[in-house]
Amino acid sequence: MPVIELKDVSKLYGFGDATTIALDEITLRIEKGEFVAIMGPSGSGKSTLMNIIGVLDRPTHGTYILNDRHVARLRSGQQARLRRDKIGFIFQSFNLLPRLNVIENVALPLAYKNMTQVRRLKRAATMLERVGLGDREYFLPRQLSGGQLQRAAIARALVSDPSIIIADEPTGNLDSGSSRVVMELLSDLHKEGNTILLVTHNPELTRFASRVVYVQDGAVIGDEQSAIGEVSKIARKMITLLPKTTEEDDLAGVSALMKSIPGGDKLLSQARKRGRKRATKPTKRRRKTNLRGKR
Amino acid sequence: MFKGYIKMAITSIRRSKWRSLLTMFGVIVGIVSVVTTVSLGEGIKHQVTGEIKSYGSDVITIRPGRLVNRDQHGKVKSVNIINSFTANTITNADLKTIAGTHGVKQSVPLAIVSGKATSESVSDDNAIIMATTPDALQLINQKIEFGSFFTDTDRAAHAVIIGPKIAQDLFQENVPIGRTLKVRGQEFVVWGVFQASSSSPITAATDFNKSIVMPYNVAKSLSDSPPQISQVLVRAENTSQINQTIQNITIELKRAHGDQEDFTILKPDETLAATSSVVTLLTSFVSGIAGISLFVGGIGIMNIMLVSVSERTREIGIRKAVGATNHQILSQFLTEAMVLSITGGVLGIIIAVICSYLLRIFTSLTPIVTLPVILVATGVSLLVGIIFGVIPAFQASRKDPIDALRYE
Ligand SMILES: Nc1ncnc2c1ncn2[C@@H]1O[C@H](COP(=O)(O)OP(=O)(O)OP(=O)(O)O)[C@@H](O)[C@H]1O
Ligand SMILES: [Mg+2]
Repeated sequence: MPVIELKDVSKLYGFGDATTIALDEITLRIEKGEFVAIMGPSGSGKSTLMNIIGVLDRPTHGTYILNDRHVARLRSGQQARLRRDKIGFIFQSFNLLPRLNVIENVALPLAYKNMTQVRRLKRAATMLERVGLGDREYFLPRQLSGGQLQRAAIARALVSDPSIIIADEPTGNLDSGSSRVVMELLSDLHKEGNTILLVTHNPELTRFASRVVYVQDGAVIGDEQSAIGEVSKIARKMITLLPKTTEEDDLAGVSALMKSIPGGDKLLSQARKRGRKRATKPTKRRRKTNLRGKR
Repeated sequence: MFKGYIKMAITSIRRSKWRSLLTMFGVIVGIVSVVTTVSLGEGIKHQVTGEIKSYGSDVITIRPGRLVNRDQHGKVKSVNIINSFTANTITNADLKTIAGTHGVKQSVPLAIVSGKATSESVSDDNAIIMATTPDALQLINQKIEFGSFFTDTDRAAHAVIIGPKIAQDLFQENVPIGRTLKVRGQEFVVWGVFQASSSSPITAATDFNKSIVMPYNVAKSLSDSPPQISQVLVRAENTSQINQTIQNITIELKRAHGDQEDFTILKPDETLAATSSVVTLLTSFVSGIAGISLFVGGIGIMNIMLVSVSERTREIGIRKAVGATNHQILSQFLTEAMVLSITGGVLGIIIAVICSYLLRIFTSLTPIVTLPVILVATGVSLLVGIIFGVIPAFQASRKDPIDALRYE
């Protein structure tokens, strides 16, 4: 029985000629205890997908079944309770409340559960201990480093003991040392039997995953099991297919990826040149069907 | 959970102290004006009640002018406040008519003597100089602290009984008996000093603390025109026949006035009713104005809450993302508006209490801040918070989590 089941889920933005198809009839099942790495170029719809799975957003079409419940049929209060109890969301930009101190931030989900303040803070303190921030409880977010912020955000995501943890580029703003700490935390959670969804641009991080899903243009174009400890094949293959988008900020996304492979710097400068050339003349998008066929 | 909302609200209000204070300003002004006005009214009613006690509960008051309109059952329907200051329709001759009416046991005029009183060193503009007859002492129920009141044999004596305040003002002593003061060029000897009584500003003629009382006959000789009679106090022979006596006086006076009812006869409790209705009218008028100020204050709160909700869109997004329900977000912002307005209300009450205290010290007004007034004021400010906070709070609660999270 899958914990997460998406059937023909689409997400459209805008209307008429300006319609953007962020998700294009995605069908996806995720079993309990899987560690799924979601990869794909910038703008491919990864975040949109995570937001829908995390019940922050709702699909335009299609059905989403979470723990055997049709999410669309739930009232907003029930959806909020799902976010509070079943899902821990970790954002690239941390999303801590700047005016609450670390322990209050971590205890925030519990504040919406009828729990006494003493118990809330105790539980939050345990979580902070676990992510190695036991000595930063009364710091304000602005007094922490990026890595510490993300660990605090992880503590918050874990505080109500959710079974699904969704991390949308949790290491995107972190250096490699901090990234490693974050990934080890996620890996521990996976070992404890939690379901983990991780969006990343870094193929190295697929070492922690049991499955890699590759998204492009709002569709799943690659989906394979991957041995833990190894960089997934599909992720490696995708490196050769990249870079391909033309926007300047896309290049920034690619550069993060390039750094992780040997000789990446050289590739990167080539990519920049190519990118600039392409920016002048529009190129045809790579067909996604041929890749889909391979699956 | 509710405690949590209040804590959140206080944190967020303290974060922008000045803004919050300015927001509360309208509510503060509104509450201060309502509480002060109502307290003033309470004070006046209280004084009038005290005055009736000091007259005795069986004393009929006759005043010049048509002060009240009655319905067919003789109940006071409305009060004409203006008339009470202008009318001069009870004359010297009427006094005899009243005294001679069947059923009247005692009747005394209370007349105003215009002018000021001077001692050797000081002159007092605030003194209320009155003239009356010896029986007055029994009708006004005002006790003499020192000395004595004039009696029937002293009708022509240049004697005065003064209030304790006048004793202090003119002679700087408590018992200035035997000393002299001058009114309209004539000398008067102080015979007695009244006991201190609760002052009553609305019927100034009877503030005995500040009064100088002289024999009526002497007052008549002070000037060409007879002193203006502000009221006549009457005691009926039989307390159970007050109504009959009133009717008799009415008939007699009307006959004397050429069938004109240009006077008002008030039963003891009606004096209170008449004053009360004037006070209530004034109070509700000022309260209406204060209500507008409260409304404006409410709009101010709504405005700030709307700004706050849009400024804190991202916070709302984060709270929703970690599991806050719409209802919980609504409660959070509604509580904030309520805390804002109730803080304004409490500040307003405190300022009003201080104002009342200052009024008591520096004027002859004696406002009384009662517990019901405080409770109602608190309730009203809470209500303002709810009414004007609900729309912004609703807006906050309806924000889409993902849109709110993306808000810059
Ligand atoms: N609120 C929105 N309104 C309009 N279009 C949107 C909105 N959010 C996302 N999109 C579009 O949907 C597509 C998918 O966006 P999404 O954020 O899911 O990409 P992503 O895979 O997470 O990219 P990245 O790796 O850069 O984070 C993009 O083309 C984007 O422009
Ligand atoms: Mg994204």
